[in-house]
Amino acid sequence: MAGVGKSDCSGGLLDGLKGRTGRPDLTIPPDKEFLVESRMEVSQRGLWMGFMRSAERFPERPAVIVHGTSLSYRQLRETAIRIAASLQAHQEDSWTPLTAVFAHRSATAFTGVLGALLAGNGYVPLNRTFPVTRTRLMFQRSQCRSIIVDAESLPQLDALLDGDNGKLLVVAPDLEDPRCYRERWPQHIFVGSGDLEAYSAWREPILDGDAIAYLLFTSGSTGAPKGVMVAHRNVTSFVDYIADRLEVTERDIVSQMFDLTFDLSAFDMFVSWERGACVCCPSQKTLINPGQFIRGNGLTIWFSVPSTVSLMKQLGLLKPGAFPSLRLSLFCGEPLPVSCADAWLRAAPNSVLENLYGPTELTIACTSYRWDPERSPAESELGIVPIGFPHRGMNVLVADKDLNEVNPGAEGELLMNGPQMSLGYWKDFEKTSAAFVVPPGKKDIFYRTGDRVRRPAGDGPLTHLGRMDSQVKIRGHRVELGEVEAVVRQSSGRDGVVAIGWPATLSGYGGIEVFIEGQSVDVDRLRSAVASRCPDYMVPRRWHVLSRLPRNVNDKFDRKALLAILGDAS
Amino acid sequence: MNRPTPDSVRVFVADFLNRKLRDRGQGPLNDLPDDYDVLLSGVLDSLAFVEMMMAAGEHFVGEIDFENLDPEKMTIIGPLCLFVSEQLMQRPCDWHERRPDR
Repeated sequence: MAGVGKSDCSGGLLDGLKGRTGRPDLTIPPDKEFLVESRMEVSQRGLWMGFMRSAERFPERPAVIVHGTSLSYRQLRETAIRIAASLQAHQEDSWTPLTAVFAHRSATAFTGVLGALLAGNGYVPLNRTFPVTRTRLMFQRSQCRSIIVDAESLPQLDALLDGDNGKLLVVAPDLEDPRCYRERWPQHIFVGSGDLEAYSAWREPILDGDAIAYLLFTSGSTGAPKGVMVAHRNVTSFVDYIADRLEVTERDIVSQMFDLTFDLSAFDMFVSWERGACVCCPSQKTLINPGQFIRGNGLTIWFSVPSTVSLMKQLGLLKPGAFPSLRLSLFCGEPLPVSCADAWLRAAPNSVLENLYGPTELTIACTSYRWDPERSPAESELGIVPIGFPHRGMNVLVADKDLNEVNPGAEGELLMNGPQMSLGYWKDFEKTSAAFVVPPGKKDIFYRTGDRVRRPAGDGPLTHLGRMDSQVKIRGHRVELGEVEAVVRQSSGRDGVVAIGWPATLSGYGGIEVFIEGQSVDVDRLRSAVASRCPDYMVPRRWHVLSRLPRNVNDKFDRKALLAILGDAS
Repeated sequence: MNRPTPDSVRVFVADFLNRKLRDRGQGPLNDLPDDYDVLLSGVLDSLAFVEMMMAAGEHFVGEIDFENLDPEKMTIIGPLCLFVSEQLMQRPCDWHERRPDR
C-alpha cells in the first residue's frame, strides 16, 4: 500500500468521530456517536480518479492551457505521476500526509496538485504573491514535510525554509540542477527535474475514510490563518453533483480565474478533469483584459467573483454579444448584484448564468441559483441575486441567535450540513467546536456559516442578506477584520485597534480602514510591518490615530461611531 | 492643464507606483526605465494595474479603450506611456470637453 492519506493529527471536532474506527483522539461527544455509522457508509473515491479516467478516455485532449501552452491529459498524467512517485519514494510513514504546493499559475501548479493527491497526500496551496512570512506561517502550521515548488516560487524557497530544522522533501520539477540547494540545506532532500522517479514506480494510494484532499488557510480572527480540512469525499460529492447539473463535457474550455489558495480553484480543476474538459489558466498579464482571454481561448464556461464583472463593466468590456462562445457563466465568492448579472448576460447572450454560494468549510459551493430573466428580478432582494437551493444531500437550517429555526419568510443565520461539510479546522478543536454545532432539537452537526439569509416562505430560493459577524469581502477575498486588528495590535503594541470595511460596495468593501487608540504612532513603520505579514488586500488603506476611540454603553468600541467618522470624512 | 504626453504619463505612472510602494512601507523607485514591467516587478497586480489605468483616465480627463490593450506589452513602461498618451490624445474633443476647469 502506498502513502495512505489519513488525517490522524487533524485534532478537529469531527476528527473525534474517528474514535470508533480504533484511532486515537477519542474525543467524540456521546450525543454525536451515531454520526460515525453514517459517515462510514460514504464510499471512498480519490479526487484523482476522475482525472485518471479522463486521461484514459481522452489522452490527447488538452487538460490544461497555461501561459498559452497546452498540456494534454497524457502529458499531465505523466508528470504528475512521476512527481507522486518521487514523493512516495522519499516520504516517511511518520510524516503528516500533506504536501505543500508552492506554485502559482504555472504548469507545475497543476502537476503539483495532482502529484500530491496521486501520492496519497492532501495538498496545501501556498502563494508566492503573499508575503513570505504569511506563507511560512501556513507552511509551518500545516506541518507538511514535503513541498512541490515551481520555478517562479524558487526565489522565495530559502525564506520559506528558514527556521525549519526538521527533514523536508523538496520536489522542484522545473529545477535542472538542485546542487546549490543541497549545499545550503544539507538536512533536506531535493528532487530536481532529472531526479524524478519513473512512471512505473508509482503505486495507487488507498484512502482512509477521512483523508484530506486539501488543507486551505482562510482568514482567522486571532491573527493567525485557519486551516480548513476538506476531505476527498467532500470534493467528490460536490464534483459529482455539479458536473451533472452543468452537463460538463470534454468539449468545454473552462476559465481558471482563481488562485490555488482560493478554494473555488478546485471547481475549475476537478470539475473539468472529471469530464475531460480543458482548464484554461490566464497569466497575470492576461488577467488585465479578461475579455481578450475569453475570446482568444474560445471559453465555454466562465467562473469568477462578481467583482470581475463590476470591473469589466467599468472598463467598457461588456459590450452586447462580446462573448458568444460562453454557454455557462458562474459566479461565486461574494454577493452578485442584479445589475452585474444583467450586464453580463447582455455580453454573453448564449450563456446560462448561475450564482453559487458556499464557504470553504462547506466545500467550494453548496447552493446554486440559475438566473431567469422573467422570474429572478422579483426573487432578488436588496439588489442581490438569490443564492438559490442546496446541492444534493445538503441540508439547510435558518436559525435565530439561539440556533432555533426561524419561521418561513424570516431572516436568520444560515447553517448547513451534508456530504460537503468539511472536517473542521486543522489543529484547532476550539474553533471547530464553535463553528460546527448541534442546534437545539437536532441530532446532526451543522456548520454555522455566519451568513444572514432569508428562509424561503414557500418553494423559493434562499436570499443572502449579509454577514452575521465581522467577516467581510474585500475584492472577493474573505477577510476577518479581527485578523487585521490582531496584526495591527501585535505590530503597534497598542490595545485599542478597530478595523472597518470601507467604503461599502455592492459586493463587499473597497478596502479596510483602521483606527488606533493612542498618540505618537509611527504610521509609516506600522504600515510596513503589517504589509510584511498580510496580503495587499488586507493592508488598511487609511490609518486613523485617535487619543481615545469611541465606546458604547457596554464599553465596547463603538463601530457605528467610527463608521460615522468615515462617513463624515468622505 | 494635464496634457497626456508620453512624458507626463510617465510622471503620473511613477507617482502612482511610488504611492503603492509607500502604502506597503517600501521606498520609491530610483529609476523607471522603458523596459520596466510594472506587473512582473511585483509593484502592481492585475487589479491595481487596471486601477492605475482608470486613474490615468481621470487625471488626464480622457478615456482609454481597454479593448485595444495588449496585455503582453502594456505593463512595460515604454509601450504603456505611449499607448496611454495616444489613446487620450485620440479623443481631443472628449479631453477638451471634459476638462474639469470648464
